[in-house]
Amino acid sequence: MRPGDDGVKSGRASSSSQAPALRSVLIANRGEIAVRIARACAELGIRSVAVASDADLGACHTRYADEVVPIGGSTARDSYLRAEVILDAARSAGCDAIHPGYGFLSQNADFADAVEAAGLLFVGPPGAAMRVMGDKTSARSAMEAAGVPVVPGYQGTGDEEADALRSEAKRVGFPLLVKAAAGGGGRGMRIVREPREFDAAVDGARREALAAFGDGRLFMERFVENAHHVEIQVLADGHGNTIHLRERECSVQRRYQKVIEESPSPLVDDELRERMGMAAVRAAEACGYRNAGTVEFLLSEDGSFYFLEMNTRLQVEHPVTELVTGIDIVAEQLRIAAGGRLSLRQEDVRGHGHAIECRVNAEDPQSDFAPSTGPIRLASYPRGPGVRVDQGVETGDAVSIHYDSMIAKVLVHAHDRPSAIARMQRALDQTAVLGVRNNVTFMKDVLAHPEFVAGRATTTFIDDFMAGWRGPDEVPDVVLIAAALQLRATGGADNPAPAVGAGRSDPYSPWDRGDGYRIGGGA
Amino acid sequence: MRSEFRWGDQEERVELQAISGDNAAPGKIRAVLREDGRDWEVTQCGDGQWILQLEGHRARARVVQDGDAIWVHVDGLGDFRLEHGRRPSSRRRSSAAGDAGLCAAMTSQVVQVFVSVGDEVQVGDPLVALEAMKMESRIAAPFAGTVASVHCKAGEVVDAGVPLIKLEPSADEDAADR
Repeated sequence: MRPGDDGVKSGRASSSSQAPALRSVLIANRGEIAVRIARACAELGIRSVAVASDADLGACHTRYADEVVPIGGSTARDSYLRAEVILDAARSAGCDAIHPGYGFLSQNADFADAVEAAGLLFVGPPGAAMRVMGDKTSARSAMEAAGVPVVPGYQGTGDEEADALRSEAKRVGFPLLVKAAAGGGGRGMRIVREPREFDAAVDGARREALAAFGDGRLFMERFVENAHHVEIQVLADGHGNTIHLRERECSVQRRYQKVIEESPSPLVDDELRERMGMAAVRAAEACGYRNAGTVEFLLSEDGSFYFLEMNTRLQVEHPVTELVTGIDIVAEQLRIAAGGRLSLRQEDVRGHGHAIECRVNAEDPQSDFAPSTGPIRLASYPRGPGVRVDQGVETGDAVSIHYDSMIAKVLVHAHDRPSAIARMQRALDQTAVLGVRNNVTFMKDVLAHPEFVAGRATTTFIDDFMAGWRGPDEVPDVVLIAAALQLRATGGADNPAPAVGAGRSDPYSPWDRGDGYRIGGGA
Repeated sequence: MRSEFRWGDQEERVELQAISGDNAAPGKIRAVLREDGRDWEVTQCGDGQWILQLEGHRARARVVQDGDAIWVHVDGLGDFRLEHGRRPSSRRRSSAAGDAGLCAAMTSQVVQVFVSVGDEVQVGDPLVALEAMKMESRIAAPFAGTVASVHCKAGEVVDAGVPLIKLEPSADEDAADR
């Protein structure tokens, strides 16, 4: 029993609007999102249980949970993707719900069903809604029936060989995208500009999808050029209420993975927001959606938009929406999962100011964003008014080859877009991640680019305007001087301090010490 | 005190001359680099944090040492990885892809090896599929030739810079060069 439970209950008129009766939530994820969910649990008085692969024992996310269950393995497939192992962990830790985060098992409908079948609550949509949205054919017909425009494409069983897909590809037309049916975050996705690239793209996408999601099904979609990626956050409870929390602009992407997100979109006015928001609500209602989800659209500059897909989970960039609306999306998720009603109605959702998120990744922007791995010697994040950091890596942690390259999300909130950009520049100025290559300086240059500043960045912005980006040509003087000062202060790497007990046969033996040392003594 | 650093291909030398203070709390120092000497006001604030001031401009730096690697962050300038000392002659870096072999750019897992010793390959033919952090990449043949040796197998984790495949350029390729 948590302190204050009784007071909360007696203070509310309707028991159905109660805060969740959840006592303990297993977080089936790692990194920053596991930290984020643990934070929400702590605020709601819910016990959080983390899981950790062998590679993640002691990792950042395990330090923020109330309990940790080791699940073995190192690759995603051997650890966070093992549904049975995760379920066992939840049962053994006495959890009453599982929050899947994003990636891993979050969009696995069978897992969602298995969680419910085990008598636990799944903090996400029903398996049936995931299946509608995960299968392009049914998603497409559901969207058309709901009056939501869709991008031309092809979705068969998803398991077709390259030969079978190739003839469909001609119908779809080039350039096209081969995408993982279970995908998200750009993994298992390839752009194909010419037919001869097709087979290799299908192979690569399928293998990547299998590794990342345990599901190799693929579909194809016409590649819409010069489009903005604009998505609508939705929330739906189990009592027939579905609302949207406005849009996020996520056009700045590399390798089809978002880098910088913001809200509101520079392209969306109140009228368009209303139309896109209502389309997203219809999309959610059409598939029987419950919990938090995101409906992604391609938006062209003339204001026409196409349904891209629905992400049936919490998204990386959800804090952007939290900052502009003041709504704690993870708390709403937990409330909904426990059978509660949404804490607000559509007319209560207001946007305030402008929010931007920058994803700090361990990667080298000068080498096609190749991921960079290694121990983090220093992770120092910005603070101050209007700054939020959701971090998954701290000083002393490591970025390993097994998982994605995200280190932290740096977010800012300010009264308008120019001041949000200025605030983000300041925040990134004060972001230090020492030990791996990172994209901080690259993102600062994106934020300063005239196209971005003008709000004109489309999904090809990085390819069009940032290709061949280089960092500084030379090391600034102050960097060299700081390094030299540090070397001097520590005696320098070339002049190590004399080893302890040098000259003795066993430097660690206490028996030949002459300094009055006593075992257990306080000397 | 003189220190030498490398940053990528560049070599830099810094000479520090204390004007006041000591090593731990230098106060005012003269720093000579690129044949230019300037007087800096320096304060150390905690472990590895420095405030450097020159003619009214202040900079906050964070420095961590990791063996010969020295990582420096300066607010507004970004993160830098320097190496302490001169370029070691012992560490031979692969130059031409041909004789040194084809390497992974970073620590990766080998997903698939497409070729075996003796195979003839054309420019652009895939040789090895690698995966790291859920992203797949491929090493393709940079020139037409014959596979001379294969140093990896599927499932293995390989380090950056370690040769995975060696290719012998074909006679045609040599002729084309001329």
